[in-house]
Amino acid sequence: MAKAKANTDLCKGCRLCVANCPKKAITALEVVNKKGYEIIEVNEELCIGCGICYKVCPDYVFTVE
Amino acid sequence: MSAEYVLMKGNEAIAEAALRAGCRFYAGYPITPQSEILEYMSVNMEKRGGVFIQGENEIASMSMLFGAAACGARCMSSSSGPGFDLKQEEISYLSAAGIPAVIVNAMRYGLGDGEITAGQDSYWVSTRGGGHGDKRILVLAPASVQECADLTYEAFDLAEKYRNVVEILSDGAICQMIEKCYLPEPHEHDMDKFDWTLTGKPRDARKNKAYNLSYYMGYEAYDKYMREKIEAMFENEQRWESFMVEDAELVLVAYGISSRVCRSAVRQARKEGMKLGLIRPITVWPYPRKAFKDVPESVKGYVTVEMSITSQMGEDILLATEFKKPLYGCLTSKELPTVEGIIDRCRDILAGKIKPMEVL
Amino acid sequence: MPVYRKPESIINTAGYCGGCGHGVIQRLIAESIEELGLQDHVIGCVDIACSFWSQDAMNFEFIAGPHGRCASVATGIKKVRPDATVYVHAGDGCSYVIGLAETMYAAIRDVPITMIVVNNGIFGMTGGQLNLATTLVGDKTLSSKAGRKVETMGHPVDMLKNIANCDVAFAARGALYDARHIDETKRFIKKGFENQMEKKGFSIIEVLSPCPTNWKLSPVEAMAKIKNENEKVFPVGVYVDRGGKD
Repeated sequence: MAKAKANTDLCKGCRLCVANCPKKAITALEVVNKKGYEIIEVNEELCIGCGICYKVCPDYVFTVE
Repeated sequence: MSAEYVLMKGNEAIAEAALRAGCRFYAGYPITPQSEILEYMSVNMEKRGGVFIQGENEIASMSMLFGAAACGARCMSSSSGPGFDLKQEEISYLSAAGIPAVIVNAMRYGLGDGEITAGQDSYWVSTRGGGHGDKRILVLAPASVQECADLTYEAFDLAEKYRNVVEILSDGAICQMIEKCYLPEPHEHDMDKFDWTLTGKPRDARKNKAYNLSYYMGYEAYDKYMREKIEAMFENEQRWESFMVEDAELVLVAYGISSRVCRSAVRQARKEGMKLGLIRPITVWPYPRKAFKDVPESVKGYVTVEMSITSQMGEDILLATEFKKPLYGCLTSKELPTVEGIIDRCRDILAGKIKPMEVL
Repeated sequence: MPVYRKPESIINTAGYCGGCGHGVIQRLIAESIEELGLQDHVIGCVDIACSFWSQDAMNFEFIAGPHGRCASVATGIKKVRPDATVYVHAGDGCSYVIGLAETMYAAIRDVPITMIVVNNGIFGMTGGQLNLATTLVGDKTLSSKAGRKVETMGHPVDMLKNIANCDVAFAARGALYDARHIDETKRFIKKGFENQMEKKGFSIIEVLSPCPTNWKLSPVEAMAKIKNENEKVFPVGVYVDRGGKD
């Protein structure tokens, strides 16, 4: 099954993916990336590969395949 | 050059010469006394396969030109007085992106609305203007219908040579005057011949961006590029006509319509025993400083003959002469200068009755 | 299962603030262009406000500025390069305030370009001032600190109604506040490019988009504001779909 993969180097910490994930499979972390933004983490076990995170993300963090 | 001459208005000669130079995009807005350019283009542009747009205003017209010129098309717009003011924004943007274009400014008299009659008080906005920022606009000032055609035709080559805006600075008299004119040969322009234009390139090709050259070149490289370009234009493009300067006591300096009156005044004055000469700038930026280098010692001073009570060209004459000789004014505003007026003025100057002018 | 992968026309990171809608709009433009097979002959036109960053993110040729003149600049491009796909990506300040005449006359001339207008109700690039066309009544901005007052600033205007008065090919408004509306916005944008491909006339797609930085809301709160407030004043949907050819 397709799963969402996150390139958190691109993340700007907006949390839109966290708010929109229908399975609550994305968690907001306090860990920061190189740019200093707090990133997220995908729980692959909960992910259903629906693509919503890809659609709402303004920064092209997600690939679903 | 065609073997047969035609009778044309200055405005029409400008429009036809532009079409013959391969201009295939014109956008503009009506304003007297240059509307015949717009009208001529509305009739003839599409016949040559080009685009004519009557814009909703000057700014939009120039913005459309900005897009078309960035694609490599030979583009022209035209205006006068208050309409020309509105074109300044895009002249700055064209200059920033190094996009060539030819803009016509048919000067009319006065501040604000002024009048629709001839004037020469848009010299500053032409030679110093072009909106905000560091740049120079090449400004060509025709004094006949033939020059309207010749200079417009050549303006497109100059614009592309330097990737610079070129302005045709005519006036309400020159642009309305009907004279004999030999038109240049038609030329087809290849809008794909440049490496800097927007063509809509395929995914693997290097993409061009029409925006501030400084942003993509880096500021240091850009400064050098601009400085060298401006110096090259200044060095290479000064043009003028000297008329009976060799033995002159007083040298008139005039361009455009005033220079035609001055030429008659020189001839008439010499019949009366007064040795006048004339320097006629054809480029007003770059100002033809070289014209003033080899004037004879006999010259006692210069007289700027312009339709501008602030003597907008006076400063350029002082710079060109390095303040070595006195500068006198023979200034009108709404009225054309007259032969008698110029001669009387010069007689008074030579008699010591007139003080040199302080350009303010 | 469908695969979701960043379109190849996006070659750089989006230069916007976190949670800004411009990045999503860039993706919808890129996906639409690629799905229609147009990506080898595109000229984009951005304003010198926030959409400016798009020219560094996308693998197309671009022209930027002057502020407000995008519809005119794109008109000039399309007239001399009629086979290129020419689109505008600009804000509501550019398109509806300083450049209202330019936008309306591109519509009146029915120029066959695709114009995407980002309605975020504020001047983003300059730090968050009032947008006369789109700031909601009562919304606080740097130049309407007590909230937009009707008495002095008038009402926001649904510009698509004005544009619908002109004989254009397509006018629609989408929103970005959830995946369903993002999908709908994508359909509108793609339709705009299809129209251009088929040499139909002017297509304009306005997008209700968040500016969390200048709204002073979290990105998630900003999306809720679009849904609960902005969409009430600016309804999403199709305003004009002329159909037919030319």
